[in-house]
Amino acid sequence: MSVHSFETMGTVVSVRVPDLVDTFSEGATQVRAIQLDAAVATGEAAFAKLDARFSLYRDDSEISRIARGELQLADSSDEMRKAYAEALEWRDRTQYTFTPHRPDGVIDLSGTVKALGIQALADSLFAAGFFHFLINAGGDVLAAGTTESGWRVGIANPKDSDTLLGVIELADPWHAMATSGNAQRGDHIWRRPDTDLTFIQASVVAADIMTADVLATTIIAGGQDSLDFVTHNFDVAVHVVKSDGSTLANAKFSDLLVD
Amino acid sequence: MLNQEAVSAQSRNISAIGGATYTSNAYIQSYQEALDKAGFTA
Repeated sequence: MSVHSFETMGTVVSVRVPDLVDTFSEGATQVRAIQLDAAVATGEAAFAKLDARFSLYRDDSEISRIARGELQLADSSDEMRKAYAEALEWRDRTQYTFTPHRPDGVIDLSGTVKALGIQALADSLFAAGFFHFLINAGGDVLAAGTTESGWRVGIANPKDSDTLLGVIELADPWHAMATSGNAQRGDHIWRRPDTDLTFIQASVVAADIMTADVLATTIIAGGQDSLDFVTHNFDVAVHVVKSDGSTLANAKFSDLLVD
Repeated sequence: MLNQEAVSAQSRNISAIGGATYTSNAYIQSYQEALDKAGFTA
C-alpha cells in the first residue's frame, strides 16, 4: 500500500493506493509511482485553489471579498457562481435544512467545498489511470475500486475514542462516507432554532462524496425530522449516534457492516 | 437498529476512520498517523 498525505483546509488528506507492481518491468512500476506522485500533487493543488477561493478564514479569498461587499456575486468567478448554485440546489433538496448562508446572510460554502476538493483529487487519480484508491479528508472518505481486503472504514465512537461503533466496507456503488458531528472543528452547521439536539454524530454513505457530506450535515442540522426525510428520499446508508451514546442505522447501513 | 457492541480498531483491517476530524481529536489523529505510517495496512 502506498500512502500520500498533505495538509489542506485545516485538516489532513491521505490517499492510499494498493501496491503498484508491474509484472513486466521494474521500470514500469517506477513510472507508475511517479505518475501517482504527480496525480496526488495535482489534486493537492486543486484543494489549495479551492481553499484560496472559498475560505472565509482568508481575508484575500474571493468569498471574503463577497462577504465584505467588495465584490458582487453577479461579478464573481464562474467557479464561485457554480459552487453557490450547487449549494442552493442542495438547500432545495433538503427542505432548506442544509444552507450555504450563515445566519448573518454571508455566503458560506464550507459545507460543499471539501467535497469538491475530494472529487477533484479523485478525478486527478482517474485521469492518471489509477482506479483503486481511498481518499480520506479529515474523516470524509471516498473509495474507488478495491484492495485485497476491501476498503474498510471504521465509524468513530464520539463517546469513547478507544472504540469504533462499527466497520463498513465501501464497495461499488457505495463509494463515499461522510460524517458530521456537533463537536467537530469547522463544521459550520447552522441549526434551525427549533432543532432537537438528539444526534451528536451522523454518518452517511452514498455513491458520491457530495451527497454523503451534505446529507450528514443535514441530519445534524435538522435532527430527527431530517433523519426521516433523508432516509425516505435518498438512496443512502445512514448511521447516527444519539447524545446518550445509543445508535441507529437504516437497513442499508447494516448491510454494509463487516462481520 | 444497530447493536451497541463496539469493536476494537486494532483488531480490524481498517483503511480509514470516519466520524471525527483529526485536528480536533488527538486519538484519531495518532491512530490515523499510525495507519498512514504503516502503509501496508490495507
